[in-house]
Amino acid sequence: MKIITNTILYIAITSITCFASDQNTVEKLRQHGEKSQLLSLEQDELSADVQDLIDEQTDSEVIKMLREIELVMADATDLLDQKNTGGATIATETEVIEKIFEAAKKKQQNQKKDGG
Amino acid sequence: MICALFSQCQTRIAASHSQNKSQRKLYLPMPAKPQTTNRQSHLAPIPNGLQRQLQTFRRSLWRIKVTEALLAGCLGLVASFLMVFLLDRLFETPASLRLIILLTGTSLFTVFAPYWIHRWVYRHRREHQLARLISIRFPNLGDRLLGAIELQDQKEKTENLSPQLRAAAMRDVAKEASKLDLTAALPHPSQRKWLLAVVALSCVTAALLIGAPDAGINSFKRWIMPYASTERFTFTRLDLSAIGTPERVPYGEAFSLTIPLAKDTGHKPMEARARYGNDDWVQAARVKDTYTFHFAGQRAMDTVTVEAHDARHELPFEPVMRPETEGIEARVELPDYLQRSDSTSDLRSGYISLLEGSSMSIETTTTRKLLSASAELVTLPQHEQTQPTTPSIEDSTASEPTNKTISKTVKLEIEGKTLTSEPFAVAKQAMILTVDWRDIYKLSAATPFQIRIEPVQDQAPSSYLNEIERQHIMLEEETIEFKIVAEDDFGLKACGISWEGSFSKPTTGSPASGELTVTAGNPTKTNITSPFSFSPANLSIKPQKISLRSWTEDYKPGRGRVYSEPTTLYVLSRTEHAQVLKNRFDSAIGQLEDVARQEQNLNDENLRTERDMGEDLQSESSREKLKRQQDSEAANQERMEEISKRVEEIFKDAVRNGEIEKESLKKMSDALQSMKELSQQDLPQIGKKLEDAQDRRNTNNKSKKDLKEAIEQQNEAIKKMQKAIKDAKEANQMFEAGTFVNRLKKAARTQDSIANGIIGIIDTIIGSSFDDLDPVEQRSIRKSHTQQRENAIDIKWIQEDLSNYYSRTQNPEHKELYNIIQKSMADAELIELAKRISANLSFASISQSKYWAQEIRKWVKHLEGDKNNSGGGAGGGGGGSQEEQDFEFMLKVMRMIQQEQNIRGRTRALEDLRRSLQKPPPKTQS
Repeated sequence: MKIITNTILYIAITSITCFASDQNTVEKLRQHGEKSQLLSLEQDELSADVQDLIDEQTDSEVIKMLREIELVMADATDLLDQKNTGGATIATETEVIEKIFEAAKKKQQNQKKDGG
Repeated sequence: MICALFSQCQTRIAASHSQNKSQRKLYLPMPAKPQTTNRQSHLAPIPNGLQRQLQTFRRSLWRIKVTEALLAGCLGLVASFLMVFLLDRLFETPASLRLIILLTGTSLFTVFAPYWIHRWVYRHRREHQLARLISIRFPNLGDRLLGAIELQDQKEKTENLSPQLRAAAMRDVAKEASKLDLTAALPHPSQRKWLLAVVALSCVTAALLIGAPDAGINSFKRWIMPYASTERFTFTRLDLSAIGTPERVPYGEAFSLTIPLAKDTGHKPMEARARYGNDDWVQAARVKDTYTFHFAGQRAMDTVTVEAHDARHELPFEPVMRPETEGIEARVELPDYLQRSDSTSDLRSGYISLLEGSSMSIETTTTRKLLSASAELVTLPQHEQTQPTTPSIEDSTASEPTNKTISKTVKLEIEGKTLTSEPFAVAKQAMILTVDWRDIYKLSAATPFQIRIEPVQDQAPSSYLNEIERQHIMLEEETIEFKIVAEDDFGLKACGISWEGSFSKPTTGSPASGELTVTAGNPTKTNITSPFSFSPANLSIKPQKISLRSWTEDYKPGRGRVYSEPTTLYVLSRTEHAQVLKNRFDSAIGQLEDVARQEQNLNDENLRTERDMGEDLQSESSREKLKRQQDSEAANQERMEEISKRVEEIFKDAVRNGEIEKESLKKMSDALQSMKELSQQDLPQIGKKLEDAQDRRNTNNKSKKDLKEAIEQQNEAIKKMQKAIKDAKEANQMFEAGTFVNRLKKAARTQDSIANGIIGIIDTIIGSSFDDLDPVEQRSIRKSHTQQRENAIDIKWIQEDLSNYYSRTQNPEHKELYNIIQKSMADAELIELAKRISANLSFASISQSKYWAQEIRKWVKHLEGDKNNSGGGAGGGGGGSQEEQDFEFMLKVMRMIQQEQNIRGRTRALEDLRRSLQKPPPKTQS
């Protein structure tokens, strides 16, 4: 009798523990999704900032590059919105950073040309 | 007449004799005829007396010669046996020699005796043969007798033959023969001698057999069966059963050969001797019925000759290398809780450290097949962990530490060259396992193989955070990347991070607390290095001080987690971050002012030098002074360089903070540019001029000119420094002012957000008590309430900061704003508003929240007016010079990069989180 009781108790505790663990995992996955979508919004806002920057520019080459950046940012926004935080998204974000650098360089080069 | 006839007969007999000589061969092959028939067949037989005499003679001849033949045969046999007996007493008679002796001995019987009988019996069976033999001794009688014998069968014509005369002749011969003893004609009868010899040798043999029956029997066996494996009998008998064929001895090593006397030895000589090959004899005295010979090291196979009295043995010996280990390894079975499979370790070093609770067995492969082996395990006492003392013979499996030396025999299993021990448990003290073996040649290893087994405990794992400073300041939205390193001696179950927050100022909500399993280990994973991106925003961590630790866990039951030293992360809001930057900038400005003062002092000193020593700059004292000035200038340049770097860092951090105004950054950038120019161009040039002024090749005028130029450049540098200080101070003021503005703007936004949040749900909540609301609305109201309380606290802090700021800067605008806020009693009012929100007084909450948003924005405008005034017209909103537009572009781009990097960092942190959820740690084994 005691053995049966202990067995039932063990099964019950194990089930509760597993259930709690699963619940915890589900909760964290939900948080992951939410945060990813939040990042998607931030990425979208940054994309809007790029649009503002485009509006202020007169250099066609820089404008072209900024438009490209805007497109890549849109990709990153979509990926984050799909809760994709994997390598593809990080690569897209890295591309954004590189392209912004390139745009800044281009701007500097063109400034020097104009100055010269 | 008779005489004439007799002489005629004699003449005929003689003629017949001579004829017989020529016809002798005709008689030889003729078979012997019985005397009776012979007698009957004769035409005129010889007289009976003569006949009997001849028969007697023949019997005697035959008897003597047959006896001689038999005795000779016996003598040969006995003599050959005796020869073998005697030779065996002297040495190991070779089988071939024994065969020759045997053949020689038996040949007397098998060859000589038949020959002798043939000669004396077969060839002396007829009367004329006997007569001829008699003629040797009695020539006259012999001839006449031979003639008479021939007359027996004489056939002639009647007119020629006179039977009477023939008979008379025969009678005459018989008469003459009767007078003689024909036995005297027997040829050298030596049967007596033979007999004597046989008897003598037989007696000797009998005596030997009686005196040494074992030796006699042994010799008989060896004589009769020379090629049988009958061992030679010796009176001294050595027990060679323990000596191999060949006997193997250690190669090149001195060795001893111990030979005991056999139990059945008949003699026990006091000494024996032996020698290896042709080396010198080695003597050995008898000690307890054994002889021990000591030989020098040998390298070639040879024979050891051992001699003890009559015992002589030649033993083949072969020097061979001792059996050594080809490989020895331990099979280790770790405790079950480690969940690790059995492993093997090389033991050739003779040392192994093993986890307590493990069990191990050894497997040794030797260079030769083994015959026997033994192993003894000695557990050393706890206080003595060096070498084992003489162990007590006591079998025990010590699991607890003890101060006794405990010895235990370990069972071994031999299979060819392989030796395998039974598993034995590793105690809590050091143990020494001594393994010894003997190979099939009974050679042991040069020294028994010893293995020291050092028990080790399952050490606690360690964990630390790598590539991160012990203290780090970061913005809420930033991500910090570092590595989690965990190490254990056996296996890591998992590693992760945990964080504990604490607020540095009163605020609502509870401090952050959490943990993440970053990497799941396994029983064989002893090292984990896992990169991790920590993003406060992703983990819903508000600005606060975070104590971040990594943790790890191994498989030892009951040990639990082991945490690293904490790393303190100051997660700051942008406002707090700006404040931190401002403090750092203050410090940098102070240092810059010091450098400027030092430069001014150097300038003054240079002026004094020019004035006092201008006419004698080439003197030694002048040059020394200029050298000191040059060194001081170089030191000042180094300090300026350091400050430039610090300010550059501050500038980069300021760019990260989105709330710092571009005007502040522009001023900071200008100051930074000036500092860089000073450290890289201006100050080095001054130093160069001072160096030129010291040049010995200069004329005094040239030195004077160089010094003057140095002073002029120094003046310019001082001016530049002062401008940099001015720019930096302005930037700092704008910084702080901008900080207040931003904080207030944020507070206004929060109030708007609260109002909008309530507006969004007002249709469902208006008129209801909080308790009656749906949980969704309740949660929303609670969130607004929390926001309102936090905002009230922020406003209170802004008010306090303004007071402090005014105390330091005495800027009246800040004092005014402080008074306005104090007068408005904003802190208390906003707390009251929070209570209304929680009471679901929705309309009042919306209107009050909107009111305070507007009110706070007025305060912002108040400060912005002040900022514009103190900015010296730098702003102006839009437009501006090309340079300012470019700076603004670059600033935006830098911030954009910063923001994108933040997003990427947080994406990576989210990915880390997701992956950690996919790799749950293994369950702890209870």
